[in-house]
Amino acid sequence: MDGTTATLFQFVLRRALQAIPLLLGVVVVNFVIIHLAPGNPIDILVGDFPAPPEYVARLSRDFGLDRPLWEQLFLYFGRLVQGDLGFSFANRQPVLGVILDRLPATLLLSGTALVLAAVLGVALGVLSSRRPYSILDNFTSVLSLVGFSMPVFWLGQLLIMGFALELRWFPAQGMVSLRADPSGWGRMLSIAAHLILPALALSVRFLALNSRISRASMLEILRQEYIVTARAKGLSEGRIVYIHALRNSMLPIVTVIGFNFGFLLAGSALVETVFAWPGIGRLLYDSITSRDYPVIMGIFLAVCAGIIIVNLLTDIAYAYLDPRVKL
Amino acid sequence: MAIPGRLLPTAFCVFLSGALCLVAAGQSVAQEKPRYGGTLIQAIAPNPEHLVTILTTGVHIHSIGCKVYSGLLASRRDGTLGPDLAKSWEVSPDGMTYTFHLERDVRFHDGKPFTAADVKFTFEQVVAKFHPRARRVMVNMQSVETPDPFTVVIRLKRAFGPFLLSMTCPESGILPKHLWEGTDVLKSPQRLKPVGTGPFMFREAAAGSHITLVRNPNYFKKGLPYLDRIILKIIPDTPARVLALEAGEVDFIASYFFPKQQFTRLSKMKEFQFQKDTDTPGNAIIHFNIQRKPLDDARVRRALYMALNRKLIVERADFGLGKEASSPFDSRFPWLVTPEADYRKAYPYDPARANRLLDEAGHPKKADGTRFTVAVVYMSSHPLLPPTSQVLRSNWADVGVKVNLVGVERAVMQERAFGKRDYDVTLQTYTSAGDPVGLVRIYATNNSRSVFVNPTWYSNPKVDELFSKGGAAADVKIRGEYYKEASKILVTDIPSAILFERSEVDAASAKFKGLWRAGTPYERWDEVWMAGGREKP
Repeated sequence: MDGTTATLFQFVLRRALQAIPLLLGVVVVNFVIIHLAPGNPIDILVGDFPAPPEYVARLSRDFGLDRPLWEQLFLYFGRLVQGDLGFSFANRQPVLGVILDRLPATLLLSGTALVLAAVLGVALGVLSSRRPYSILDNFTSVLSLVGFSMPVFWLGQLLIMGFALELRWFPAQGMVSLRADPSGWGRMLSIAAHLILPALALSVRFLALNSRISRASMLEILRQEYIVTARAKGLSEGRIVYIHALRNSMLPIVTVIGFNFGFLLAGSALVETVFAWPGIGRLLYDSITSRDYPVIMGIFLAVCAGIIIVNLLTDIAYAYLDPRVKL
Repeated sequence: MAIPGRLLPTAFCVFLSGALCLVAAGQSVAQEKPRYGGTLIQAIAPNPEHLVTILTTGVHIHSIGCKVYSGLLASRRDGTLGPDLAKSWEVSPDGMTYTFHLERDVRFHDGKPFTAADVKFTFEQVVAKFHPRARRVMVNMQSVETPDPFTVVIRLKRAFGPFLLSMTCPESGILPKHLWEGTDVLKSPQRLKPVGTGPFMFREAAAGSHITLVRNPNYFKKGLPYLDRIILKIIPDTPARVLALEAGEVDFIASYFFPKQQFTRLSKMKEFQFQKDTDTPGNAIIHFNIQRKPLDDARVRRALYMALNRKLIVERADFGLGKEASSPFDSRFPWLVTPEADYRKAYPYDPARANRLLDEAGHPKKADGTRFTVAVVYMSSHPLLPPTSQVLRSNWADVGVKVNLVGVERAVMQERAFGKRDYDVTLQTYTSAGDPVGLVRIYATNNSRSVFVNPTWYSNPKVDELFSKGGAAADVKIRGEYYKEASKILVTDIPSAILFERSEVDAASAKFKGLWRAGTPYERWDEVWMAGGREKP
């Protein structure tokens, strides 16, 4: 193991250890909050017709809901350290399986949206910064303002009406064509076609944000003395912008992109609902309405772990981009 | 008779037209002959937690499970009950013993034969223990006997008129004993891989996305079903379901999942068809908390009901498709309707009279023009209740009653209205499940705090007695008399009152035929077919 790898390993280990109390805090706070929220999962479970009290009592007992809150929390921790996320009241199966069934769809959607927002946002920001207050810059500014302000569920419905109903370019709903039921490459293409509209809807807000941050950061860097020197030395504009300015302007952009991830996961609940995308965002919403505590806790933990990992990657990216930053 | 020569061309034209009409009519008849093949995609919501009809009252699960499972009986198109797994049945004169004769050549989807033992196991071990609704009927069973593999004899502890309604798939779809016996019903893997005797077989379930069912080639009703596949697509967002229907990605949206405000627009498009008749009337109801002042005074409740413009509520909430309420039950059960218990006559919309009644009840208007304030609790995500609450606030403001609207999510509403009874007025919707006995729970004495029962604590021994007698009688005429008597008392006491009889609207692609009545997306999918299909299976 060379010195750099050892430093990186120590850094990751240190951050992983620091994450443990954070995760514990997340568990305790969320556990207490969701259990104190009004509403009772057993009422939801028994449905719309009157169930006898002994049936309700039996369900409460089966799911451990008849115990005091502190005892439920203690038991939850006991299971958690063994890697057991609990048993879903509503789905009546282990929570881990419920989440893993839905996680890939959300990662695909959020990942695509994150890449779209990062690549297009930074590209638009850089282009705008090269000619501030030009027609392109003003157009991008207005577009960013609209994109950032537009509610994601409304944008999703507009995209469906425009591109699925009117133009018939993309499917309106789901993750794959059910009627054609394709396999192999056909299935991959079908998923890609179904992915475009929800990924676009999810990414627009972050694309707009990234574009504005990139523009501002690039404008600041392009005014630095070393850029003036580079120009005086006769370097090409492309080399100045893409080699000398862009890398140095990336620190705030990387921070925002890392920051986007948590909000993308939150926003995915709405997009998944509008596009019937079978991910954990929708699962979270369903679990909250049915007060399926173990699934809610499981998703919170998964999202929290995901954000910790993304923050870790962001810190590593800092060190890569700026040699002055030490891990 | 000879035809003059000059009339020959005319006669020929008439003959030709007639012949063409006959050919066209013949083709039309031929086109109406059911065809085989095709895939129907049905939108449902939310994601089903399991696929077993008899562990839930959830319509989304019944929509799936009742294509896989069968009951002993099923609905006929005239609204009565007909045979399904039971080819015939008898009821003893005292209404205490039911004997079912089962179909003999029936196999589960895994190839194992269906017998009376499966019926006994399903009723005793699953429905009687786990079905939130039918459990109440099954606990009234003295015994389930199986004198031979194709006969089931059920003896009741007390006669119960609508007992046969519990023999249909949503209430008691038959499970295979050989797969379920000895398993933990609440955790069994069979819950997600249903094996039944129904027209369609389970093929796959993609969590949060869809469930695919395929044609059962060994279905015991020869020649059925017609469709090759039914896919249940999970679309949680209501507008998105309609967009999917318009995009051709969905073929059927049952009333529970269809936004009725879209009916007028879509009904003008020839690509779609709509079913509006229903076997399972449901309604929107207002409950007064009669434990709290001033709603403990029947005069106040009558005045408040009289101040409500129920026709306007139907227009705003049910888009004119429903009907202003007339009786404490539903006029779609005509055998229990009486003009002596008619809200429209007893309490016509009359704000001036309502004002007088409130004055007489000792609640004069104060300086600010108000008499008192009430908190109205309702489920904010319900399609009918928020617009209902808006009309209510406006109407009651006209008679000086200030309204605080408390729109909350379902879990909170259930706890406030039924668990803690923390409300002045609550708005709810109920379904009869096909018989007025399904609505008795609204008015009968019940202190259990269970959800969707009587949240008012109204308790009238006379009403309870009439309900009990009405439930026990087998003849609907006799039952109707008991319910009519109870209705008269309920209209006078008015602890709760129906606001309107809600409509049911199923939306479907016009290419599908043989669709069942609205509001019952679990019924008779074996008879649905798609135009342009094959002549043979």
